[in-house]
Amino acid sequence: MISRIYRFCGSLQLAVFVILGLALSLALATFYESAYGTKAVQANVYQTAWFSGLLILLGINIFCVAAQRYPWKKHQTGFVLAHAGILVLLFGSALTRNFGIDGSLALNESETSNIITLDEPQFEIWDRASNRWLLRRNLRQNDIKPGLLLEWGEQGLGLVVQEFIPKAVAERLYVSTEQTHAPAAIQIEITSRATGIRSEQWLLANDPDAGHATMGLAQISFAQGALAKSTSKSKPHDGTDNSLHFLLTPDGTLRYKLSSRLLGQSSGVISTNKSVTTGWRDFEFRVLKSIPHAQESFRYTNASNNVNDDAPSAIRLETTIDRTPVWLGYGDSITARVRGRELLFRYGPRYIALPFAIRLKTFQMGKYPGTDRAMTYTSLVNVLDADKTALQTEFSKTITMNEPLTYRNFTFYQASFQQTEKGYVSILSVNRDPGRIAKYLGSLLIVAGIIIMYTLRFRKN
Amino acid sequence: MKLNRQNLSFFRAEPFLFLLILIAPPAFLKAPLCLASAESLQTGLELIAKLPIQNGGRTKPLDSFARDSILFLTESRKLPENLRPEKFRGSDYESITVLLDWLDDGETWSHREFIAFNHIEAKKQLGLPEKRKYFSPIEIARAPQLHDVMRGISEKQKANLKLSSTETAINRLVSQLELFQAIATGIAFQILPTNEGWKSLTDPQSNETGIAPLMGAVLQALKNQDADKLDKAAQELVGRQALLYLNVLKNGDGTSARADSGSEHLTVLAQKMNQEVRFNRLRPFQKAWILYFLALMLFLIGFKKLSWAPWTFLTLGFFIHCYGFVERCLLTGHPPVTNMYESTIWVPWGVVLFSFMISFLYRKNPRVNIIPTAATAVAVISLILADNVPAVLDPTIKPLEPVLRSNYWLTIHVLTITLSYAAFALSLGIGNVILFLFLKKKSPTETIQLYSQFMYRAIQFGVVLLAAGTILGGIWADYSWGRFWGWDPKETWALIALLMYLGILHGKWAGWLGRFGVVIGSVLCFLGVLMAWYGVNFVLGVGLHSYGFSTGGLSAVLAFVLLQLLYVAVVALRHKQLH
Repeated sequence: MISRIYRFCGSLQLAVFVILGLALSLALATFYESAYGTKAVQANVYQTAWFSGLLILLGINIFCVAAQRYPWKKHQTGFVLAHAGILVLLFGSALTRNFGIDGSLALNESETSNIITLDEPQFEIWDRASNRWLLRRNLRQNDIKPGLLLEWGEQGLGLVVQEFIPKAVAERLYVSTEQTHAPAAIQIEITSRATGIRSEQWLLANDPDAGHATMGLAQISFAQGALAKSTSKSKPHDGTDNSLHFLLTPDGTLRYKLSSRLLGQSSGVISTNKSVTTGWRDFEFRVLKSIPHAQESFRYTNASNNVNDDAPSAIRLETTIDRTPVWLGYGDSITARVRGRELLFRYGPRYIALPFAIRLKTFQMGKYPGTDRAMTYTSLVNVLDADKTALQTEFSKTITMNEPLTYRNFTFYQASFQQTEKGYVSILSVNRDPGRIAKYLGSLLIVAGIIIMYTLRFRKN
Repeated sequence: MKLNRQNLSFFRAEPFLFLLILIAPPAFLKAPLCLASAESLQTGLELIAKLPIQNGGRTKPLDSFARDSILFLTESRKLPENLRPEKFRGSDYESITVLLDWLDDGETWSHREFIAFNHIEAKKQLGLPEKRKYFSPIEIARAPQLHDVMRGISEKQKANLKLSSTETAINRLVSQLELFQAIATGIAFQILPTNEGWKSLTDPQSNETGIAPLMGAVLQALKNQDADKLDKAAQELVGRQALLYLNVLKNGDGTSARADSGSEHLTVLAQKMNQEVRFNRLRPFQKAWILYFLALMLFLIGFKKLSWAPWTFLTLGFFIHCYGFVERCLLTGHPPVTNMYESTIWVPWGVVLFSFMISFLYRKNPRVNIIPTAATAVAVISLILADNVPAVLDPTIKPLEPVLRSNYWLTIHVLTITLSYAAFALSLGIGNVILFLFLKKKSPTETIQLYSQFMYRAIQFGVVLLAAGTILGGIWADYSWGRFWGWDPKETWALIALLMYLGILHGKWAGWLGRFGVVIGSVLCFLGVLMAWYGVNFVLGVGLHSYGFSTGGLSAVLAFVLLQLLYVAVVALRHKQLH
């Protein structure tokens, strides 16, 4: 029986089956990628167990094919080399996959860092009181599904994943909080029947950013405090402006003051869900929600465009004790009170510390003369090594497209860049690949093997 | 590795500005231009054709700018028949005179229908007549829905979302409009070298330095058909520009080392302009396919006494093909591996090369001619496509994405992979010939066996090169961004094509596929190559090889695939019937 299985594993028939099976799955995978994006195909095809199984089956098949033909004759040199090469290549890939590091390092100019982020999700819980990590768990995207329990060894305490959105869009909203010092928030809606325009807006009282909004040509703001005469004069308007001001007085009444070019000024007390004509064309406004003490929160929904790989994932969790819901977007953290303790939950990329630091001195982008098209990207970096045994504790190097920097088994590549208000952010990809030698050796063996195979056969012909 | 290409010009922000600008032509141009007799004006036009202009990130002769612009606007090498100039029709100066006329009389041209636009859905969406191929700039600018569509496109681009094929087509249409506008107003004519880079005709400095008035004089002389004045104005313009450029070279970065080589640099530039104009006029790849075609015909007729003749044509074609490559490489500064057009002229070169090599291996066999016959057939098809579908296979020399610049492994891996496509294309050609033999009632077994051997040789070359090229691609990726293999669609499809051929070979060794099965299988495997070569860039459109992404030609490729499948099916049915 075993010998029959062994025979079958080394048969050409199995080889044809595996080769064509692999080709077919790969072909389907590329179409899947075209429809659902790179992240999806990585998670649902290339990183799955069945795909690894297919590659392992290929390895077993090749091994048995070669082993069964032992002792090898001279004319089989090419055949043996090529097939051994594939095995070595597969072995190298397995090393890379299990022990390699593929991360990235984003640096502002003159920023120093030794922390690289990996594109692998991680879930962390930090206890503020005792200043320690309660939980740090690496997750693979495929593992995150409803029902996944995250525990940290405290009786009856844990988090359960309720929902996972691979590509999410965040929407900011405000929820009520018990903290009495928290400011108030209102949600207003503006509609126009004639144009069919409808928009919603959250306003946070007295907030320098979230307290104001511009909707079309109108200025809208929200403040909290006593109704004083001075407030009406505090923001002088010439009367021709379209504006709408809300004021929440300490007794809990919400007042508004409206001015429009058409109807002039008006004011009054407003309750929720009551429509008021603005006088800006045919627009009407109403207050949808009013929260006396509000805190910012996020709600996540599925991204409408499924090919956009930039959309981050999001998870919704509930604590096992009081089923408090927690939404977390990839890269976000949130503080919550659980059993009277302040805990910080973080869901985002795993990061690791390098044994040395990189400082970005400058980033330069060369352009094609007379155009805005990028020609080159160059990062000038300093490597700072605290290790006293290192030959150089500090040195400079330029990293540019196709010319990486290798230091202590880590290689830094110029991957891309971002342009922000503060200047350039250079994005380096950082990589350590223990399988590199095996992959190169395997490649060499494959090509040499095929060439030898063909030249020997040709002479024989 | 997503690199945003944001070249949204002012038109996209404020579409109606186009009309305002178009209606006010540059001050130095007035009356319309009528063209004079070809003979007398040639001297001056020759000088103008070779005038350096900075465009698309490089310095090129005005002749190239003219040809590239016509190609981009009309999606053809020539204007629509009724709009072609009378005097220089078909001559080397046709493109340059058209360009100068656009500059001279943009107003009239903006009402003429010459901007090619073929996307039917897009025409519907814009409210343009669906049946027409050419549209005038004005009617495009005034298309009812254009502004709304463009707003949607720019929002999508900001959000980094993929554009639909209709949106891509409309985006391209707007680029066409922008180019015409830039030419008609003179903005596109960046012919004034200054210390701050090249400035256009509309820059105030162009007036001060005399460049703009001299260009005006050139147009005036051309309009009056005054050969002497044209010659004089052209010479002055060229001389003035050279002088200004020399000054820039001397003062530019203030280094004395540059000052010595200034005039030398100028000479090199002039030589480059000459070389490029010569290349534009010769069109070596067109000459190559004509010669290959003649060879193919002679191979098919098979004159016993003239057996040397087809080989001579084939060799001549190959030489001019090689020459074209060398010349293009010198002009672009990189090997022909960066876009679909370049690979479409590189692959037939490889096909002919392999046909020489395999023919040499079997040189004693009298029936070896089938190899170059199949090769020339494939090469002619490929080169004709490259020469005649500029909208899909764009021959314009464009600046390279940063990732493609100056990299040894990149060049090696793409050249190797595309050479494997060539070997497989040759095997496809021979395979189709063998399939034809199977159609005969009494299939000539001996001939089929011999031809199968030829095909097998081609596949061997292909397998070695594709395996090596795919692996070299891994090495390049590893060297460039530290990742040997990432299941990117382009590399995955190269692997799929390789696996398909390996499947056929292993199926043959396993005894599952007879001679007929192997031939059918290999022919079908080429569809995998086609997917790796064309499909990933034009159909899938995802992954890291995004710099090669484009659209168009899908119906032609699908037609080929269907024809090939039909042929295979017919042969298979016939084969079943006979056996």
